[in-house]
Amino acid sequence: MRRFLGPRLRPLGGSLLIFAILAGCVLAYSARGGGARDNLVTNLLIDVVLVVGMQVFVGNTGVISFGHVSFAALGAYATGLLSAPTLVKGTTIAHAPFGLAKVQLSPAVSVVVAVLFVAAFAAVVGLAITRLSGLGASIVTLAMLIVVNAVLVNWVSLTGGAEAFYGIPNVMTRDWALVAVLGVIVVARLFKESRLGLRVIATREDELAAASSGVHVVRSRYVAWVVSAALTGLGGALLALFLGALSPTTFYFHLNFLTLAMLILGGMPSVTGAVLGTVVVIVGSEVTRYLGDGPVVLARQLPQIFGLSQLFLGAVITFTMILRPKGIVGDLEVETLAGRLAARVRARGRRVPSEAGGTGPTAASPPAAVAPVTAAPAPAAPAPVTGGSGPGSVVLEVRGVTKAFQGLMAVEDATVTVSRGEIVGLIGPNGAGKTTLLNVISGVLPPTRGTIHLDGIDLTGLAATHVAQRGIARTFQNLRLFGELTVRQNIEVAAGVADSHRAATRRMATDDLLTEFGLVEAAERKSSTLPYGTQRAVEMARAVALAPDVLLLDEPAAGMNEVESQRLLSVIKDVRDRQGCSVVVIDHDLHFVLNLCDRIYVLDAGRVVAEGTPEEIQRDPVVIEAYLGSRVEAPVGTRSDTPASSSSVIPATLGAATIPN
Amino acid sequence: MIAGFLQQAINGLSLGSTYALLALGLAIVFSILHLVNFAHGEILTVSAYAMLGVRNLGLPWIASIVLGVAVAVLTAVAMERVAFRPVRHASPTTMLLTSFGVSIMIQAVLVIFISPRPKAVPQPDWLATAVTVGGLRLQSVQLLTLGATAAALGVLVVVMRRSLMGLAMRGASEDFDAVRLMSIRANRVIMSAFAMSGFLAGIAAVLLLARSGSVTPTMGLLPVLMAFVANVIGGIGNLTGAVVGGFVLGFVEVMLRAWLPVGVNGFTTGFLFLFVAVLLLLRPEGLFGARTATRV
Repeated sequence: MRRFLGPRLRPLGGSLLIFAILAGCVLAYSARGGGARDNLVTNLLIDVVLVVGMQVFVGNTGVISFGHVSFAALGAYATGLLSAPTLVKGTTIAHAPFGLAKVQLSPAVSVVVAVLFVAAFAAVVGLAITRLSGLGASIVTLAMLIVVNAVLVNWVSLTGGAEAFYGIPNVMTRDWALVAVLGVIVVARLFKESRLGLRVIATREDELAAASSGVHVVRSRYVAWVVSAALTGLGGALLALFLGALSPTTFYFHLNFLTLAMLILGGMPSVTGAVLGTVVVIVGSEVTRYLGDGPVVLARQLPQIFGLSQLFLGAVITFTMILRPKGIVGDLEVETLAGRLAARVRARGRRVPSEAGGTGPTAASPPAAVAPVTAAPAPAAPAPVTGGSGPGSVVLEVRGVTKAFQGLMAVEDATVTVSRGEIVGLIGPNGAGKTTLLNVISGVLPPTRGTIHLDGIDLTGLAATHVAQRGIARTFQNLRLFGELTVRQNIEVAAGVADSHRAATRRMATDDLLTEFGLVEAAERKSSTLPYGTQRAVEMARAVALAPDVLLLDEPAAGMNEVESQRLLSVIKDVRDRQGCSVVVIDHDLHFVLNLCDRIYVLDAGRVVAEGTPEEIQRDPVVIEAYLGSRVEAPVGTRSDTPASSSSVIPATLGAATIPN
Repeated sequence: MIAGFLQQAINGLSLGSTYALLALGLAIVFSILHLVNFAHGEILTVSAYAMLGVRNLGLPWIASIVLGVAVAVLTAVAMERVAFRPVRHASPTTMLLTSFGVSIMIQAVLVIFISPRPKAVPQPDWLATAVTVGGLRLQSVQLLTLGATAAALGVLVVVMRRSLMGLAMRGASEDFDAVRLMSIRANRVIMSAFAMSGFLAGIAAVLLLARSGSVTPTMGLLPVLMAFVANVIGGIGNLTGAVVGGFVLGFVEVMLRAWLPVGVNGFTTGFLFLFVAVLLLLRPEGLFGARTATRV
């Protein structure tokens, strides 16, 4: 019950808390002072709506958008055009298209229509924009800002052009603005903590790893884009009803940079940060504007300084970034901050010196790398229920795959088959094409030639997302975690995908995975803060959470000592048994591969040069020639009888390897 | 028609020159630090105000150029030392916003201590003259622009290719750690990169002033925005791409201005950015960007 409610109640509670704090301050400030203070406060609240709206896209995707202000512009103009009295429109825009001059809706209806219009607009342009990432995406959003502005300025018969469009009923009050703020905060928090939100954040943290966990990068980003646009459009609509008059310059570079600054200043990934950043900038600007106007303080006339509030804005941005690079609250939300504060107060009360924050794990037990499999032998029987084909049948078939990078043949005509439940090794010298082959199988790279079948279904040329959704999971040679997410969230990203796309397969429960990989202690910690070995375990747990038919592991034992790789070996076998999947593993630790694998492929210069059981591989003359170098001169048949050949270092490992079974 | 096109092509090259110089400066810094320096425009602005100061002292135009460019170099280096060094290892977003803060502060300082209004900077009379060659009208300003840009790019190419520091900078844009392992000081490489970008911004300031004849605190904003766009369409961080991107942008802008039908000529910037958007959707990595096979 708590598990079900917990994740939903927390963001709701957090939303209410931040709203209560904001509303309390706002009401206290505007209780006295009359209309001027009311106006200031309403303006602030509308800015909060805009910035929180932006946060939904910018904060979760990490793509800096220069275009959100144009959503506000469209929302504002749509509201204005619909709600302004026909009498006014008859004189200002008598020849407006779509008969708009003769339409007059109530402000509330206008806002609803405007928000829907903005969402529809975003849904169309988003089809193109969300395909891009990083700075390219930012520039295209900038293009959107400029094009929308050009339309507003030039479509004179509709907007009245560069001059002000006036006559909009100013019905916006502080209390309505408060209601809107509550609404957007709740939506933003729920989105962020939803399963979809988690996927969007995963794309921000590592696009490739997200795709390889089955996350549809463009689609998740697209949803964030549309939701965010609708909220920002709402902010614009409210602004129209607050100002009563609009001009295209209201929604251009100035507002654009200002709102972005508010968001990043407070802490981009955090809704609380968006609210706080807005308040800091607005309050600071007001105070400095007051000082700059040359007030009389203590009976002394201060000089008038034009530009002081601008100087403040620049300074507060620069120093916040230098002192707190991730913004004032970073990625923390209000309830976590409150929890830490409470813990500190309590600790001080008890006079117990305590470092522990609200979320920290018990410091006593250091997180084990890959812990021994203490989990009792799998409680449930292995359940290989997919596909209908029993153990032993071919599950993955890679036929004649070639991958060329310009002239370089990284993989050439490679054929690899993997049976259900089998553990297959890929070995070969550096540059043999092992990782490239893995990249082709997992859809990260399209093959130049050849086919890939999973359970008889052709996967050739499918993108990484779809390959993952169909049941091929992978890890990466150089660790790709969702660093700002906790261990549990890393796993939940993949688990969520498994739930919606791998219904036929039973996935291991998240808690089982945490136990299996020795991650229980670290579960609530941010994955980027963990030691290397633990991070490797997280990555593998994430891959297994996808309930794969085939698990691809790229150098899982890299950097591990003998004891650790021995543990890893039993973890992999245990996962294979419990999940009923096949495993393809690349590693340079020959001892590890020989012990783990049922069958081994040897690659050299992009080609499969040998294939067989570990015993066969150790005896294969081609392997000894290509993989171990031709320095070995001893007769092939005597290899296993004379371990540690005097002439080479590598055969020492080879000879020492024990043969499974 | 052909003559008209040639005439516009020269105008386009001339406008593109400024974008290219600024874009190259941005690219040099970006390729090494992954910093999109929004305050790059303020290097230009400060340099232009320095030229105003020199002229107000009654010194000749040529002196204002030399001192103006020197001030640009110093401003760029100081900016790195004071504002960007503390955030050097932060995320690109943090660095971007820092530069954004620096940009606002410099503008505010100019507003507070000088004036928010434009100030005229006297330019030599010969800049307003023009020569006609085979039906083409070449303004002296355009000739100066093209000549100065060619010279500045030439100097840069020589420095980047021939000097040790240039080599180090090119290396650093590929792999900074490797350069440090060659016992070349990171600080010195970064400082040189900023000095170089300052030098280019200084030249751009000279050319911009020659055309407009006045300074304002916000004069750097729009050019640097275009330079930023030029970088992205050229392939962000790619030096050749930045220069080509700058010229493409200037060229397309002038062509749109010249040939758009009367009814829609208010949309020049709109069409320009539509062109940029389409270009990026077709080639997300830009004209010269490597089709990055992410290393996994």
